[in-house]
Amino acid sequence: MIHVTDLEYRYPKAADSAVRGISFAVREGEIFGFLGPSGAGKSTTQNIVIGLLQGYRGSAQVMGKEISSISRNFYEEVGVGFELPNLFSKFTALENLQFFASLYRKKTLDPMMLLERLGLKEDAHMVTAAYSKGMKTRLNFCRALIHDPKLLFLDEPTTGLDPVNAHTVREIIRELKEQGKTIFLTTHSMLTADALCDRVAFILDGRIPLIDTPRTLKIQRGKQTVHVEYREGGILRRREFPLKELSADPSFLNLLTMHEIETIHTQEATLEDVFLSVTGRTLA
Amino acid sequence: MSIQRFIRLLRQDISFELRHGMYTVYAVVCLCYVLLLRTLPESVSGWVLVCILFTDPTVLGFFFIGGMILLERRQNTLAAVFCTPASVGEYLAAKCLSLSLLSLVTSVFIALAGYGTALNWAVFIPAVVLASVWCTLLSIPFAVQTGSLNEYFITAGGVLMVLCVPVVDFILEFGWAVSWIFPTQAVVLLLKGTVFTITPGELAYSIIYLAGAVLVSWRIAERAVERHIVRNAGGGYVA
Repeated sequence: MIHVTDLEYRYPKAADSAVRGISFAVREGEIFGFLGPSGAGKSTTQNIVIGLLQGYRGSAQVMGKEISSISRNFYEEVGVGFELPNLFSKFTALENLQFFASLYRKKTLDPMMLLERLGLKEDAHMVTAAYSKGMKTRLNFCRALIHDPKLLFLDEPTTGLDPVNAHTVREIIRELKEQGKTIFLTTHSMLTADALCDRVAFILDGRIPLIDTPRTLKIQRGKQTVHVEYREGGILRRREFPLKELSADPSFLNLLTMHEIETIHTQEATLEDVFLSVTGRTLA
Repeated sequence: MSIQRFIRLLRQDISFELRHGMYTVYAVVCLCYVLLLRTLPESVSGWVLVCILFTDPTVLGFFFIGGMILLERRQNTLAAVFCTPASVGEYLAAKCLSLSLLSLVTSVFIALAGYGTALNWAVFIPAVVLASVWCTLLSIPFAVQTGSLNEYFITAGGVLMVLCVPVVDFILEFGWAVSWIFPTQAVVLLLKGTVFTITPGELAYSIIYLAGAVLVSWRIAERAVERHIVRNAGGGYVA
């Protein structure tokens, strides 16, 4: 769906390139996470791939076409949800969605159905200036989906949402994947990336040092041990055991039979640990 | 260009202008103009009408487009519009037509209510429409770059002041040759032609010069929107 090869971009008058020869591919039907701190080159890469930034070097092909040669019809099948809401504040939620829907030639989704799904049906006729930050984020998400695109670019889709609504958004993203949509997810949130993405790419200083599935990254970079918390004579104790040949480890088996186990966990890394170990930086 | 999409953008612009109170403000301004014209003696009202008709499309094009684009930038809606099949050309055309329609309606109202029907309407209509479209396009490169309304008024206002040289020339009848360099001379001549008479040569000069100014301003406005709005639509670096 997306094929980027040796992509490089330097803003006019900038001393250094914002994107420095990155390559990656996003498969059809995949949720691809693009992770990195502010200023790493995430937005620049996304802006090139969605056709907003021209004058890049290398190749960026989306849906089989080089992005520098696309027509406006490209956007019939591409949805973009930016991090900041893009809403007409003196218009109602329904009017906003109806306006954006009217800019497409193709048949669009029912705006009320989307508003209902995102818990905004009751507020459909309220001007968006009166919306809370979370409501605007949800409406912005509806706007990106209104024309039922094949390819979705979502930038921090759960930022500012309460846990229930963040869960709803993640659920919808999973459903979109099941429908065969491709989703390019840009985020700071390792939790969101871990929960949703089939593969993630870390970007730092305009380069991609690592691309893989969250599971592989966490296992490869984690400690190959099992951490056990148990009670011994009423006192909480902790022990670690090598994961390798665990079933034959007599001290581990003895612990399981002799003591009251409270927790037992493998020690795979979190995505944040992986990012830190690869880049030496946090996602702040 | 898709006509259907252009009409949808045009409708949105008119609703946007209405809901942000632009029409209410301008209705009050129009009433003030009409009252002024009605109190003036007949000997000067024709000259004053030309000056008012000059300010009408220029002020609408200048102030309203600045306000509209700054509001759209603040509401971040342009990023979303340019990630749809809508093109910069359709966007600009909708802005120009919505403001020139408003300009035409208000100019006709001011002329009829404040002066009467004794005008050359065949010159009046292209004069107001061309002037309005040109002023709208001229103001867009400033509106897409400035961070606030004050900054916009200082930069674009400075340019507008310089462009008013032919108006001063018209009012004070200096006969400055330099006035002919400015596209605003074409606007002044056309508006003069609606009340008084102008020569066929002056009419041809005005129409051709103003049409040329519209074409050049269109290209400059299109590039400014692409450079300052479309490229920055997704955030990140700001050019």
